Amino acid sequence: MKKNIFIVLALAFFINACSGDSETGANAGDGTGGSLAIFALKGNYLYTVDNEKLNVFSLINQEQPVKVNDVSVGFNIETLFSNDDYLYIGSRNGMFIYSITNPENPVLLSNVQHLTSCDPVISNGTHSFVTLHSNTTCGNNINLLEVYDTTDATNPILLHSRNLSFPKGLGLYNNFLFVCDDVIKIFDISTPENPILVHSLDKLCYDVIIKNNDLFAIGDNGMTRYLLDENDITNVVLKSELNY
Amino acid sequence: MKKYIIRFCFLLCFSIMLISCWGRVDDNMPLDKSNYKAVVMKRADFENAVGTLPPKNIIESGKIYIFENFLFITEVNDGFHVFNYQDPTNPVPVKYIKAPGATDLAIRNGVLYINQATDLITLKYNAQTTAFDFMYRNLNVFPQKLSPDGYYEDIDSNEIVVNWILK
Repeated sequence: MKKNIFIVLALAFFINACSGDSETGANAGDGTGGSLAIFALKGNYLYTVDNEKLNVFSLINQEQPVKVNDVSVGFNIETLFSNDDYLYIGSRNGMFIYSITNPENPVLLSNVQHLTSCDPVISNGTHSFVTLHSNTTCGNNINLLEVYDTTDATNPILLHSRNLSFPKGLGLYNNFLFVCDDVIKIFDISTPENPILVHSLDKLCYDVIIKNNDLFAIGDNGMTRYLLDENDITNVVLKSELNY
Repeated sequence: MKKYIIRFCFLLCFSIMLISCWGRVDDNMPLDKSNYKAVVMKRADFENAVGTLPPKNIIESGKIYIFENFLFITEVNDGFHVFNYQDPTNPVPVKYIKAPGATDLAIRNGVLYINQATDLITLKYNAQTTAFDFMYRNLNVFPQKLSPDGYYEDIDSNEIVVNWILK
C-alpha cells in the first residue's frame, strides 16, 4: 500500500515536472540547488566546478553525459551559480564571471579578487551578492556581505559592503535577499547599494533554497521549511522542521 | 671591495637557505602534514557501492537540492537522503542513495548527475521500482579530493579518496 502511494506521488511528480519554472533561463524539469551548489544546468549542458576547473558536459543524451571541455579557473573554487548566459563562480580568493554564450567554450569576463575567505555568490544579472565568511579552514577574520553592480559583467563594481557575524549561504526572493548568518537576515534590496534589514528568522543555517514561495533552510542540526508571502515579507509561516 | 664580497656571500648563503627550506616544504607536501587522514577505496568497491537503500538517519548534512516534490540532503562524502515533500508540513524519508565520495547533485527530468569523487555518475529515477537506476559513469573527470587543509593523498591509480577525516 505504501509503495502504491509512492508510485502515485512519483507519477504526480513527473507530471508536475512538465510545468514551467519561474527562474530566469531555467529549463522546465530542472531541479533547484542552494547557493553552495557546484552544479548548474543550462540548455543542453551541465556545468560543474571542482577545486580548480570549470567542467562542461553535454547532455544531448541526458542519460550519458559527454565531457566536452574544462577551463582552468584558479584555486579553491567553491560554488557555481548560473543566470541567463552567465556563470558566477565563488572561490576562496574572489568571484569569477564567465559568459556561456558559446556554451561549450566559457569565456572569462571578469575576476574580482578579495582576501581569503569562503564565499558563495548569487546574482540576478544586474547585481551580484557575495558573502565572505572566515573560520579555521578558510583563513582571516572577515565576515562580510558584498553587493556588486554586474550590469556590465566585464566590469563588476563594488556598491556595498557590510560586516555580518558569520554569513554563509544566501538566496534571492523578488526584491529581497536572504542571508544565513547568526539568524536568517532578510534585506530589502530595492536599492542594492543600500540593503535594508526588514526582517529576520531566528534560525541557524548554512544554506537556503527559495523556490516560488517556499523557503528551505538547512543547518547542522535540521532542515526547516517556511512559506513566504510576496505581499508581506514579515509574514513567514513555519511549515515543518526535520531535526537530526 | 672585500666588504661587498662578504655581503654578496652572505646574501648568497641566505638565498640558498631560503631555497632549501622551500624544497623541504615541497617534499613533504602530499604526506604527513595534513591534520586529516584520507579514506581510500579501491575503484571496484567505489563503483559497486553505488545504489538505492532504505532511508537512514542523517549524520553530517551537506547541501540541499529540490526537485519537484522531492528534497535531497547530502550525507557528506557518502550519499543523499531523499524525502518526499508533497505535504509541506510533513517530509517523509523515502530512500537513501549511496554514493561514497559524493557531495553534490543536479537533476533534470528525473535524471540525477552526481559528483562521486573523481567521477560524474548518472542515475535515473525508476517509478516502477522507486529505485535510482545506474545509467552511466564518466571516469576521472574531476581531481582527487583535497583534504580540508589543502593536501592531496599519494595513492595508486586504481584508488580513490572518498573522504578526509580528522586525525
